[in-house]
Amino acid sequence: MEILRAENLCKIYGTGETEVRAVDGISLSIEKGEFLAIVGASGSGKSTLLHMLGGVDRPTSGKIYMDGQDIYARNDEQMAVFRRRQIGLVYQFYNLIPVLNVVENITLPTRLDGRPVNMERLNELLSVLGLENRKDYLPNQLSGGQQQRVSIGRALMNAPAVVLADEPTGNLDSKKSQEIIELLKMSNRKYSQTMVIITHDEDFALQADRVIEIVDGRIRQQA
Amino acid sequence: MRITNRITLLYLLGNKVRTWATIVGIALVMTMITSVSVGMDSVLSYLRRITIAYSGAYSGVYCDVPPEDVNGLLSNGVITGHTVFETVTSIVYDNDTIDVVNYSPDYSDYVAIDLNAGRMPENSDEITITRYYCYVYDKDIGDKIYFGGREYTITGVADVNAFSGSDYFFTVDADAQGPVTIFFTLDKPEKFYDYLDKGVLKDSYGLQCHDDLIAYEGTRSVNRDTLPMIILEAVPVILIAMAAVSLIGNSFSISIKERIRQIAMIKSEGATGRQINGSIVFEALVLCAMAIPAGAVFGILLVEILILIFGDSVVSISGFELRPELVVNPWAVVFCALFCVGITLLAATFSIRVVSRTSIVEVIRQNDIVKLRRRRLKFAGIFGKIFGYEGVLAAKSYERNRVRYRTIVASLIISIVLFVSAGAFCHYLNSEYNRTAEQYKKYPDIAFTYDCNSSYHQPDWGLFLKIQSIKSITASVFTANATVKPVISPELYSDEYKLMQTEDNAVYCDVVFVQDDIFNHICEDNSISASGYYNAAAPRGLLYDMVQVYATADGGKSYTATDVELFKKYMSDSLIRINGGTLRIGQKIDKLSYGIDNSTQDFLVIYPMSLRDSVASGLGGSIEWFAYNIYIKSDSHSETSSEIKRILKEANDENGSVYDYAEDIQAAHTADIIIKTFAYGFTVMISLIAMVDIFNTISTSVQVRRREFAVLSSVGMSKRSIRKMVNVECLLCGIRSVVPGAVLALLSSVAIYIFMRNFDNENVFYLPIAEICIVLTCVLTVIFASMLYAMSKLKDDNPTEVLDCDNI
Repeated sequence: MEILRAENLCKIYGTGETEVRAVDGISLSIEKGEFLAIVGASGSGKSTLLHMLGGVDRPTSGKIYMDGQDIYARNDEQMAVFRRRQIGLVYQFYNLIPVLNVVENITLPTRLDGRPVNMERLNELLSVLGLENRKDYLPNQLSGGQQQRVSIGRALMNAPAVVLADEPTGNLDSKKSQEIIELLKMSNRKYSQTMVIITHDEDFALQADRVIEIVDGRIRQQA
Repeated sequence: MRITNRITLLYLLGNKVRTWATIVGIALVMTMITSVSVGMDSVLSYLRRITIAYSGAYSGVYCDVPPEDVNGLLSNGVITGHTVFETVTSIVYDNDTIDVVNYSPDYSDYVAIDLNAGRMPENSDEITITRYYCYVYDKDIGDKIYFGGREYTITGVADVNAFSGSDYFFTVDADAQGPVTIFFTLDKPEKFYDYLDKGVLKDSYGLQCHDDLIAYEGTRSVNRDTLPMIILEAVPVILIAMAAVSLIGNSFSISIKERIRQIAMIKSEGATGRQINGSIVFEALVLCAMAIPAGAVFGILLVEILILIFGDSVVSISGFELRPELVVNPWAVVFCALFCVGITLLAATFSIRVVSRTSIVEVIRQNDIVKLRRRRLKFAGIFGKIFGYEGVLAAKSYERNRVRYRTIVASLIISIVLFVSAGAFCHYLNSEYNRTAEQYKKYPDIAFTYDCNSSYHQPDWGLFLKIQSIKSITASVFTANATVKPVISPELYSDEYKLMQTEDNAVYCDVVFVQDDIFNHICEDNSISASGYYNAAAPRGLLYDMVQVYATADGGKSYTATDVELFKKYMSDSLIRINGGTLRIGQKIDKLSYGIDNSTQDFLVIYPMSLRDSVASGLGGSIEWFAYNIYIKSDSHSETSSEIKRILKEANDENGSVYDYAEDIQAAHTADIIIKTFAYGFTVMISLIAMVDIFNTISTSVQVRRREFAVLSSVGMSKRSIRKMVNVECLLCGIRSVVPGAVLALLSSVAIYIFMRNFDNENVFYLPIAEICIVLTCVLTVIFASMLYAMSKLKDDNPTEVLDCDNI
């Protein structure tokens, strides 16, 4: 079952001589529960595509449908609600809130939604992420791997429809990278989470259900 | 608590320096606004009390009302109380109406009766008269006076300062049947004219409003009387508001920029615009909750402290034995708090606009470089030549981050202009005080004058001796003055006098008798031998003909007094003809001292006191006026003045009067200090706000640029070079604020000069070089000190750790 579909997406920065077509007419379809890897050189438009899929950056042209609904037909307020409930974002540079501890960072989307925290889900995530003993720690008291796990926990807390991860292992050593990869795969299996991962790690990409290569803002090949 | 608000609170707690800087800034603003409001309320209350002490607490007065009409006038629902002067009889003297009225002690609740001497009447045979009629009738306490076919004994001298068209003599007569004067109070005195317009108060029987009191009823209705006070209150509040918006807006802007990445993250996690905006408003309200109560307390304390310091001085200036009191209107303080909150929220809205325009993606990518536009940089080349490549980087950084420095520059310019303006304003005030002080140098501390009207007679010498032996008097000169009308041909006047004398005023001669020893000193001061001036058979006097002439200046806008020589040419041993006699003159002098002064158009002829009888007998009936004077130097002028008044009261002598010149100069000095305190105090407060703003901006700006400094360090720039770059940036910021600030300050000082000339055209333009140098030094010191402090926090930074650290 298709969960996410992009039609002829374009993202253009600048005008005239300085025009840059970061994404140039990309169309793709993602199935529910699919583990999709996006690869490509730096500056190829991978992150731009990911941000547009996550409702963070509006495309210059084209449409994105989630569950058959155009996600950009919403206004800003509706987009924010959509992001907190339907999308989980994981960044290369963790982007945790420095003043919130582990639990508060993980439960941030739920609390933004004004809903009570599902303690069972939280404890399960903490256990799965190996953070039970770090619940009250602030980000600057955690290692890089631990911070990334918090970031993943935050992305999974609301059980979003799609998890988008932009080079989640880009800032980690190989051992920690492997841990993160396993976590994401586990989440994909256990929670039937649709995953779209940008990665430079070939081994990681090969573990995905499908790999898309982006070159100069276009899909060169899918495998 | 909402998560966004919790994040805000945690940020405030985590950045104590910035948070406290903002709280202090808001508290300063609240302190200033509260002190202006409370100060004005206290001033209004004091003026009201003085007015009541002077003329009474009544709101209005009806005159000459037939007794049967009284109830009709009073029964309108708005008159809360009244008192009635029942007329016993009325007389007209010299076109003025005098009402003899029945006295009741209840009058004091509504009308102030100024009892100058004696006591109020206790029966129908007793009466009080006014000071003026005491003088005109040449009457004293205990004398008899006839009015309306009755004889009264004068028991006191009393005046009513309330305006009602009549003078009042008080007696006791319960059967008074004549028309009455009604002094009444209103429920809302400020609505007097509204009640009149609506017909609630009947416009009849010469109804008069107590305008002086209404003006100080603490209302904010705009009319001719309250407009100057309202302007005096509004101008500082506007200036404070401008400084406040700048400081608080800047603080919020810094706070948001520091947290922009986290705000973008929260937005990407699904926080709505309303949630983000709400957190910014929450931050504003939290800061206000901490700052405003403290600011209110300090503002009230500040006024109380000023009252404690200047209270006695104000009493001496006002002439009333009433000390100013602190008056706090709770609603006014609440209004000030709301005003402060409003300014803070207004400042917060600027930050909200910044946040709403921020793109999540650009922040996450740290793509703020994208926002900069390519443009030619003006200073990079010049600074590069002077300071090397560090100068180039500094100039580029400054030019490309103008928005960040904009508020610093604006705050500094405001501070420079205010400080220099305050300095120029105080200089002109000080000049006026110095001129007054210079003028008063030739005066004694106290001048006692005993008038004998137009008769030459022997006064009570014991009184003069008593006065001269007051303990606090350090030196005194006794003189006797007779004014005579000389017969002088206008051809003898000097050309300068003729030119300035536009009106045909008669010239009189003051014949002054001074103590013999003082006369000898005057001769010595003027290099004249005194020996030839003691011949009783043919007494000769010293001539002093420098007279003071008032002429118009500035096209008729003002009068100035000029000293001119009266006579064109003077021959020794001349005779001056007066009606019924002559005056023989010895030599002319040009130096006067020992309190003897001539600030009139009359010329002086001075004799030793021992020749008084022989000279006066020669003047005979030509004496227009005779007076005795004691010019006093004292080590406590107020004590001496009070003692003289006590001696006069004891002697029951109304002929003596005291003028305390030292009190005048002290009052001028006090007023000068008070105004300077307020002018500089206000400037310092505004500057403090600016300094807090600058410190906040610069220290946070450096913190925000930690990554930039780490990058520079990692590519090989030494710490020394980084410091040099930062110092050049400070210098550039300083120049950009100092140059326009100095220009605006000069223009402001010109405007102040033009303004002050309206009050005193003797003012000469003052170039406030000293003030400009002081404030520029302070400005540069603050900038560099802030930068030094901020840089000291980064000196131990490891570039690699900073570059790796995500949570900057």
